[in-house]
Amino acid sequence: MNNAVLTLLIAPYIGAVLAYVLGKTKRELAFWVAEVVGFILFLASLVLFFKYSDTVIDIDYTWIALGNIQIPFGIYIDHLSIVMLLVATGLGFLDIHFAHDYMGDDPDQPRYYAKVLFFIGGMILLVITKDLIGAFVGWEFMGLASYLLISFWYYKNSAADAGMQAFLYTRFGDIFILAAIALLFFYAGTVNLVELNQMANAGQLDKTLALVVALFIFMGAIGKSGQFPLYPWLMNAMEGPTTVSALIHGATMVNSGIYIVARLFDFFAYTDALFIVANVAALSAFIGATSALVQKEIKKILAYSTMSHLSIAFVGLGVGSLAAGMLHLVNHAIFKALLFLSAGAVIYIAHHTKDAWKLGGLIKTAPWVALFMAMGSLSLAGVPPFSGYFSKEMVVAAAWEWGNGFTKTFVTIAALLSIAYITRLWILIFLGEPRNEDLKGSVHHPSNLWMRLPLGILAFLTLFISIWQCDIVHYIVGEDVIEPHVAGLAAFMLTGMLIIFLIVVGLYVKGLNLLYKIASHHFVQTIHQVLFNGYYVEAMITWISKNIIVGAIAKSMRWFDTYVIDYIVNKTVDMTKFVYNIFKAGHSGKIGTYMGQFVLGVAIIVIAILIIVKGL
Amino acid sequence: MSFIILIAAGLLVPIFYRNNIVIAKIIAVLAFILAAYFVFKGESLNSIFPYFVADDATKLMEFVLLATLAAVSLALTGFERPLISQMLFLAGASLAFLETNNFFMFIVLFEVIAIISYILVANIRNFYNAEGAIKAFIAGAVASGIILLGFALFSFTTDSFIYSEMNVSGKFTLIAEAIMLAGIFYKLTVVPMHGWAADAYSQVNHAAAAILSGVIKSVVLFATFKAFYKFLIAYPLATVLIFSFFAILTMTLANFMALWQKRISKILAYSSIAHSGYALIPFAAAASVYSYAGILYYAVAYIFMQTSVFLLLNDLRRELGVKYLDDIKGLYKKAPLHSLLFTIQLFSLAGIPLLAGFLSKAVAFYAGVDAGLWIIVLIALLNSALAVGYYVWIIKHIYFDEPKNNGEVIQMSTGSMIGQLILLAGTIYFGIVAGDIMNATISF
Amino acid sequence: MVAVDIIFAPILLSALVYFLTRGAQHITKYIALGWFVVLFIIALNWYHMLPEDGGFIFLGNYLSVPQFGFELTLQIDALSVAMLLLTAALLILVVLTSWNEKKQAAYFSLLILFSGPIFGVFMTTNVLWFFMFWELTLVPMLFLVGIWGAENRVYAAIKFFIYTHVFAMFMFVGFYLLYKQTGYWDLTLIKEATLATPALIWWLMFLGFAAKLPVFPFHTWLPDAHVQAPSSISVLLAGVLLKMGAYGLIRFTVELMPITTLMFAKWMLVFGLITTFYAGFLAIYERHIKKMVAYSSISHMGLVVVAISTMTYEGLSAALFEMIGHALVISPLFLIAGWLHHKTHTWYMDEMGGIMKKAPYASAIFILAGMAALGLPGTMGFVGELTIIISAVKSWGWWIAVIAFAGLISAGYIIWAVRRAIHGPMSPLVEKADFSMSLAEKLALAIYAVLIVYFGINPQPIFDLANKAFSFLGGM
Repeated sequence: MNNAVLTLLIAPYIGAVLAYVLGKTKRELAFWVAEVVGFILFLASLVLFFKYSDTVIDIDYTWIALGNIQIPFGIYIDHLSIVMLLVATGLGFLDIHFAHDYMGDDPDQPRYYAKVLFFIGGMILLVITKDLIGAFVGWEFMGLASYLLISFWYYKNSAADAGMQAFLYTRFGDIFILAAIALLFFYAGTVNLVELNQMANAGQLDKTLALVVALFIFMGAIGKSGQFPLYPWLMNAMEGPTTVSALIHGATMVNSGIYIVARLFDFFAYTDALFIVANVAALSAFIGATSALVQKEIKKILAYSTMSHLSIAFVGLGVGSLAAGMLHLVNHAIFKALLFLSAGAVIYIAHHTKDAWKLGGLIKTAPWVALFMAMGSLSLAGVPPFSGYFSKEMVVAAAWEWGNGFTKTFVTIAALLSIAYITRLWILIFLGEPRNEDLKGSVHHPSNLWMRLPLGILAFLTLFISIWQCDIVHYIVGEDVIEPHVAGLAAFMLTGMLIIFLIVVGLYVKGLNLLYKIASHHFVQTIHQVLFNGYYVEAMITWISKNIIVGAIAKSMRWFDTYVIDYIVNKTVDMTKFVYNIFKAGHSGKIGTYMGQFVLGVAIIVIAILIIVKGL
Repeated sequence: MSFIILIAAGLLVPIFYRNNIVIAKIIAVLAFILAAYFVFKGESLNSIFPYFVADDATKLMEFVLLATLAAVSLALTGFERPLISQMLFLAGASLAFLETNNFFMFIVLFEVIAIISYILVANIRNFYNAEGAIKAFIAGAVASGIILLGFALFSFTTDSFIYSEMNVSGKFTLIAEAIMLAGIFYKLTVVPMHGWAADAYSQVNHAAAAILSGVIKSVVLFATFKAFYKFLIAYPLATVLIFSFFAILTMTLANFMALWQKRISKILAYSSIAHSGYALIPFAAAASVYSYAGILYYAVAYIFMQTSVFLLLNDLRRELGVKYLDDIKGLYKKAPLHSLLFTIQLFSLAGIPLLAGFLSKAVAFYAGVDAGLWIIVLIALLNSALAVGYYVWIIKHIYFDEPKNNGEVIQMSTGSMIGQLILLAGTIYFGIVAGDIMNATISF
Repeated sequence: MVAVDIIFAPILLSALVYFLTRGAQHITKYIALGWFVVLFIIALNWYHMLPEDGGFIFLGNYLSVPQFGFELTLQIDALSVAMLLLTAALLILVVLTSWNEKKQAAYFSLLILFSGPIFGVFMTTNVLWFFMFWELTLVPMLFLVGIWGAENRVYAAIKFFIYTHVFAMFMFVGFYLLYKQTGYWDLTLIKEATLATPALIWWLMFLGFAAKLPVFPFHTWLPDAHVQAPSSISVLLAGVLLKMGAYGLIRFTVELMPITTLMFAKWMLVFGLITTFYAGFLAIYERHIKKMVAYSSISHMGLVVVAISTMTYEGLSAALFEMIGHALVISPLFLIAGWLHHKTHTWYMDEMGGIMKKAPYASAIFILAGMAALGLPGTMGFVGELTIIISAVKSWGWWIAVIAFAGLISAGYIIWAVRRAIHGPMSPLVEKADFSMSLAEKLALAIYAVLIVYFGINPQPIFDLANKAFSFLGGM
């Protein structure tokens, strides 16, 4: 096996163990192990990028052989994998680097870095595996890492709850993938991702089955990538450290759903499941974008924007443009990492204040952070020449060209609204006067090496990667890409964005009073409540699980178990007592009674014999 | 020879036991050993009297009987001394009873043993003993009368009393058989004719109860089976119906009664009655080739375990005044060895494997299955599982509960220990090795 | 002779240990440990002796009674060896985890006593001896639960004893009928074709195994026994005693009467499915930490039944893997649950909370084992669940993919348990508890963790055994 591949496969876990063990002896070592391992992983990805631009690494391996079944665990690294690897390891490395200061005060650093490395390992496994089994393994590793990192501050109820929620929501999606694996094993005879695409292209698969499997896999993707209706966990996941949110819930893990659909793109295309993907994603994009408008916490705004943008990438895939979807995935990963890390820097500066309404005026204390975040925001909003513009344009154009009305409308709204919420966020943080007494005193100052440098790199990337947009597309999809073209769309979008931008600036910079006035209207309040609570999907799911699954089904089974099954078992004791009491009547201790019984016994025997004798 | 030795020793022992019980015991044990030796040589009664035949199975039963009685006599102390000579007589009578192949002798020896048993229980020390003894006596007298009635009827219809030559056909024979069976059921404590036994076993002296419920019952079981075998296979329908019915009735009722008793001796008494029920299954399955092995195995296993538990209870009662379940709470602290032995024998009674109680049931019940009575066997097995309830309940008191007061640890006397070890050896040996019994009955 | 000795020697050894070490009770655990290591080495030796193409190794015939077809025939195949290795390994770990148990002489002599019949169960092919060993395992368990158990131990011990005894009786009648209708007590000689009433026999035997497994609705003894038993004994109950049920099911239904089993396989499937989900939901509703683990144990045994019901090479291999996996996964959960109760004096998870802070080691192992229980990749639980679902879909069709939901249910109760007991702010009970753990216990937990992960990543050794054990079903 290739050394670089081997490194990618194993190094994260070794690193995780080392970081924990060494970190236990000296806390500082944990960081350094993670930093070095992160860097090695990035280097290995770069090696693959440069060495395997023409060929594909394809290794077959049988993991388990039982009976007539062989469970494979192959490695398959093509361009798509390499791009994902670069994103995962590159951002992973920067994130670890950033955590040096951000997590610097935490006593549990060894645990933190071990988990992060474990997470990166899972992500790597997902993107380089050849089979759905391996993908599922990586997928679940990430789920576990995400759970553990969200609950990193487990002693807080909110963090513990959020971790539990994240795990269960994503697990709900995951079991569909498990079911899909089983179905594929039997009905398609393979779980090999590459073969599945080939079989789909050759039309060898049963359509119904393929549709079911595709939908099952998409269920997994919905859970992992925070699509409707399994998205609320993503918002609550913001309880974790911000560096975690940046890496896992902004830039990498949440992309895995998109990745798996992209990896099985031909398979999905063959089954018409893409239609459903597009519609669910468009709806999610709309929900995310609208809910992001009214959130208070910085990270929640970013979380909803993540959801919305993941959906936009999904729409790209869903309407049939692999290029658009993947391009947006890559761009989004970079600017979302930038935004989250900037938010982390802001939170760090502001002594862990997360409510955007309690910040303000930070541009004076942290001008560099403000600049970098502005660049990330512009990229997210889709303003040229930032990279976000190109990919988002491409998705929207693809939707206009190939999507149905629903997809088209919702994704356009979502794309336009992104400028609104991100501008609002930036203004609330950096402009105006500090709305919090703490900020007027001393603040943390971000260090150049540990905070500004990674932000700068990311900001640089999100701007300059625009130059290579076409190359990325060709690298991933191949040379013959059908790019969508809708005349006048760019102009329409830019105009729309400008108008929305002006409204937001007007309201939040000059017209706060007007804003309050509008907001106090009870109709607006209602809408605000709906949006703020993410359309009450979380409340509904919680209600169902609490009242129906636990409160009704589990409780009634418990009742049945206690008062029927075990009751019968325990009642046998009383039953024997009952029988005993009947029988006891015959045991008076008086010889006369016994003689009576004796006569009865003789009578029984003699009568029985007489009856038999008569028959003789 | 064996018979003579035993009777002679029985006459000799009373001279010694008042002054020196050790000598009495030694004489008794020597007599048992000699008797066993002559049985082994094939010179028990058959060499002297006609009408006595000792096949392998009978010999095995006799060895077991002698060993058990030796164990009992070793364990006895104090006012139980008279039992030693009574047991020697009992042994003599039992040898004859087991070996006879003549129905007339069977009836006579049955009465002899009944008389010895009355003498056994007549060792009266208190009101309870007296009540038990009287019940046993009245019951025995009535049973004897009934049996004689049946036998009288039978003697009119048959030309010969030799088992193999008896005439078993004809309605009167069947009725005679039924009446005799009623009497014997009475002796075997089959429900509903069991009432006296539940009281007598628990009320007479425990050492006497050990012989009464353990030894005598086993002997009667085995001898009766031999005596009635020809009847049993001559009327298969009647056999199956009557014995199955009484088997189920007996075990079910006795087990339910035993479950809620508070007096340990009463639990053991009902357990003994329940075992009579199990033992009826090989009778019902007489048609099977395994029935003889089954009844022999049952008698052998039962004699060891039932005797042992009553003897242990006797010890405990003497040393600690144990009567009720409450008295044995935390017994393992005060009497570890008694507790362990008691537990093992109870497990044997309950039918836990690697102990004789299990294999005897396994073989005896298999005879039932072999005869096609698997439903009866299933009921019997479920009954035995139910019985585990009260055996475990005793064990629960011994091991799981804490003692009420911390008395000092009691030791087991040497004689008692040797006796118990003999019985334990029997229980374990026949729990693992089934070959002896199966080989002994192969010729039947 | 080694074979028969290791079955009967423990009886003598335990008596010796009990009576001779009254003065120096602490040495009993070393004797027990030594004996179990010897057992493990012997089992390992047999493992290496296994023939490549499956089939039995003949170890000897003892105590022959030709008239009754009754003899102690010792023969082992790959399935037995797998069970023997598991049993010996668990016994060793149990000694480690009960290092500081009270009344050591009695405790360890009972453990030694237990090792005899449990080996016998897996080694003999004689049905009657199988039954005898099967029943005999109950006796030491009765005492271990009844004497060393928690507050409600007497009820639990007696319920366990009588319940399983009663159902064993049905099985016994089934065995009787087997012998009656074929004339052999030996498994390898009995031919299904000669049976007159195979259906009756099948159901009678199934009842016995079902109660042991346990299968809904015969499961109620299990939560009581497992909860009240000391944790190390819960490990034996879950890890070994339940496996006897599954082992019996494989031996006596699938291997012995394949045609009849095929007829009733769908019933087995129904029982398995109901058990899996029913117990899973009960676990979700449970506040009591050890009961939660006990229900989880039942739920996983349901999966084993589902796997057995497929009656295929794959299905049985998966079942064997899940049996071993279940033993290794559920054991640390029981141990830690019991340990937490020991330290906090509460059974209820909502009264715990924040244990992670005070006992990170135990918490980490609990989470790891919990993850294995819910089938997270990288652990044994995943491999078991994956192979079971694949083989089940292969045999029963697409709809059986619903058992994937079992993974969700188990995630529900495990994660919720972690949320309530391990995560969250520290409760007052936890605050004042002293969470020290002995080195032996730590070592045992670490071994469990390593095994769970090792066989989760490299499950092939177990499947190789399974391939030998079930190759008669065709394939490969």
